[in-house]
Amino acid sequence: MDERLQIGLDSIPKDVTYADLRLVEIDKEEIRIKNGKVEGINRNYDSGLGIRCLARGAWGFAATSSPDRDAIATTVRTAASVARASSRTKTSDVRLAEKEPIKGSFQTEYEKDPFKISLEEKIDYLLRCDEKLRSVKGVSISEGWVECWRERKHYLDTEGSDIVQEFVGVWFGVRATAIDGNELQFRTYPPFHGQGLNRGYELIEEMDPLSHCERIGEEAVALIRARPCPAEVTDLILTPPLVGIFIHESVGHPTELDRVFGTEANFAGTSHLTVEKLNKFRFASELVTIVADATIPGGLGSFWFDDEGVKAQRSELIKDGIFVGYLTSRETAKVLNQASNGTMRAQRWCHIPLIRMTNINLEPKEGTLDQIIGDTQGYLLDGFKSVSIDDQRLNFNLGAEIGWRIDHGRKVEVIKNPVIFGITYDFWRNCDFVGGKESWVLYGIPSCGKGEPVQLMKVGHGAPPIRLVKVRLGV
Amino acid sequence: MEQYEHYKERRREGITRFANSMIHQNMVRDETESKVLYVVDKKIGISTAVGREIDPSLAREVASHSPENPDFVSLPDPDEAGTVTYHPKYSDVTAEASPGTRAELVREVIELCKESGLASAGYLTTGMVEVEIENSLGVNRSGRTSFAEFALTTIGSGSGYTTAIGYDLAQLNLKELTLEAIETAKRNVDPEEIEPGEYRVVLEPLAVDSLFRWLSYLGFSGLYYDENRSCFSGRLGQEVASPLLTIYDEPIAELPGMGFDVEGVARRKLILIENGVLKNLAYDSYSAHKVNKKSTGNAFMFQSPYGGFPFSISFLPGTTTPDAMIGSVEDGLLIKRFWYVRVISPKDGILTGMTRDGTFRIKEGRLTKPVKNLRFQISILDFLKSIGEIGNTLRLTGYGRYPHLLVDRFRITGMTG
Repeated sequence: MDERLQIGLDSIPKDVTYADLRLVEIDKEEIRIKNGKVEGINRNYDSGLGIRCLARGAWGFAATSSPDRDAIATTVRTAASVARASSRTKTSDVRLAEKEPIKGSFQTEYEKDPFKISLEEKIDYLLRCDEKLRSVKGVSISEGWVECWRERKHYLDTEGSDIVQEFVGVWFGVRATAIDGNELQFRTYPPFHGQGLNRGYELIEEMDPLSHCERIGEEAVALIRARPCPAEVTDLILTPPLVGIFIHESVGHPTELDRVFGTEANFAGTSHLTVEKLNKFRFASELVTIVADATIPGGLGSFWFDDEGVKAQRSELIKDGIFVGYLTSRETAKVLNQASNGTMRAQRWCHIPLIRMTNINLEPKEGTLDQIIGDTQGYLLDGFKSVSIDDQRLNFNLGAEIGWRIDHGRKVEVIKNPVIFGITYDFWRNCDFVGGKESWVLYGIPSCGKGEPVQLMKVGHGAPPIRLVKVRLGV
Repeated sequence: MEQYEHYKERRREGITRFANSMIHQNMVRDETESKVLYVVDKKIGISTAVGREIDPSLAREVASHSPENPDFVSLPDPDEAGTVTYHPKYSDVTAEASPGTRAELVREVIELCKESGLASAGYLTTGMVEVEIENSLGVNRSGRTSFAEFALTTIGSGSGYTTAIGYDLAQLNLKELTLEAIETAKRNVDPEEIEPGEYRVVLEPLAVDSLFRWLSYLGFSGLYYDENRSCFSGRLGQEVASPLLTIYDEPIAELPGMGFDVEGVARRKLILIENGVLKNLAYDSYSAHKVNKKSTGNAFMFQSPYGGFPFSISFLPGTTTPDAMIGSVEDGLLIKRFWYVRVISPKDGILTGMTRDGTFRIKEGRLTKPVKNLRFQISILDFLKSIGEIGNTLRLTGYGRYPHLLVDRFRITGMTG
């Protein structure tokens, strides 16, 4: 065992009734290219120890980046004193759902270690993408980025768990921006502000951004001259990245049980999916089944054990359109007399674990994007551009990079600045098509924000295209 | 040519977070971060280390793998870095405040809310930051500041909100702030629905803060301006706002913060808009040197892809009292704060977002019923020109000093369910 963890364990005061310790080390490499120039190469190392504990029935947490023995012992004692301070306002003792203690080591499987691909090779590839983007007349700004990480997390708790997990992943993307007068439009590939998964460098080779640069450049330029998004009630097809972000905001966040219980009320807000609606509320059409799945290989929300030592799971949130489940922790699950479904994670060693989305996925049904386009009179939207939603997760505004009008089953016209807005469940209830397995794509978001101080978490969303009928497009 | 900068920051803070009228997340953390930026023949490398000593040679080694960046001219030299005239304040009591001190203060807030039949959620943070900067051209800086920050949401059948920040815990009048949020929550019950459309609105300072943070991003980056992607590109020296509007960036004595940016360049007063005319933009050294300018002391990270930003925005106060503003509105809205503001179209400054924790109908110059949380969509450029009055008092926030604003046209597009 790492000496720092042993010192931490040995320093726990006697009045602490439970403690967990996380020793986290993250290596990260970031490369950014813009307009044919390397704008930044950054190598980061981040390491520290965090301890969360219960004393007098309340939580305390302390963390230090210092590897010094005395600093670690002091930090552990500080966590206990923080817990004692918390107890001054408690209304009842914290109670935790049971779990099995586990010992083991786990590691991301990958083909190509991204840290073993030379900087020169990564830079050369990005510069070739950049050149391709700029080869399109009308592209004003070309950008590309690659980020890779290796995170090693050693978790111990006083219930006997001892878990080491190592995650390796990449996040990358290319973007073409066209500017003319007061008009600025961009297209990104992959169209989810890039793509990130817990996989090796082979992910970039498979997704092959170079082969998409010319197309996104041309689309960005076409958007400049395109007709503005009309305001009308129409049928809409959303591609997987837009479905992914819609799931994120309308299903992922409101099913976080800590939000439902009010513990995020000051910042992110609460949720309209309150406990009395569980197993009763029709959230979506019966085609819609959405699961939280931390077990699928490669997802940014995949792991083996969460930051409470609870095993990764797959659980249903929306089943055949009915709201049936929450994302839970040991403390919140206990309130509902359930076991935790294992969603507690912290961004870094110095953050308290919170309930976070894992991979929140829409289960596939049948059909392809081409098939549903062929059967639609309306619009197709692609590329996540922006999203805004209220503190109950009801009124949303989702902006796409690009839209196409579909006439008699064919894409006939590009439209710019497409937005949809309204009440989330009204849109989900109007879903009459969910694409099949062959059109299902898993995307990753590297920076979902929650908590105070804000923690940016890696989460995933898998989805096929969907169609929404008779919904409002444009403002 | 070889140049380097070494930046070191130690942050020690305690954050006492509460919800459902009890402390539920309570923490102390201590973190030291070192960064080195190394330039070898216009090849740039950066390394960062937390949790171990930084190896200065790593950034140099990273740089050696990079092609030259012809846009790089130089790190700031002592002449460009200037003389630091603002020296941050430091309160030992605030920097060293214990978990017990914070818990006791939070307990008093919780109890005050309970007496009004309201639940409470929020946080109280105290701590300190110390920074050291050295570059190979002779720029040397060091400084430290303490900080205290408080936020509170009061929750009954309606909600209210308040927040405050300072370098000293003693600056935060927690009782007064709590009573402010209690009063809003008590008024904010049984909200009514309104029709979408254009309204005259009075924005309270926290709402103004939200919009001007986004304006900083969309408009005041010199890099974005020069790349023609700022909503102000091509309009320097032109009228971009109501002639009533004068705003600037400068260090604020009551706020935590250093007298220099992350490159060691002294912070100074930078007038952004004066009497409605766009006067200056914010630069870090990299984006400034590309266009033969000097840094304005607005660097917030090494090699920022966004260039420099204002660290804060301060308004020149107007002459109208908030009550007089409300009194001048025949049919409109008072908006306390915004939530989840996002950009729909950056170049023409189209923003959307929601109102939160207190939106009230104004009828015949008087506040009447609360209304449900509303969605808005505006062009920030139209917004700037439709500012009708500027309040005569300023509220200190974490991002500057903000007045009430009376805005003649503000587009509401929907509301929460």
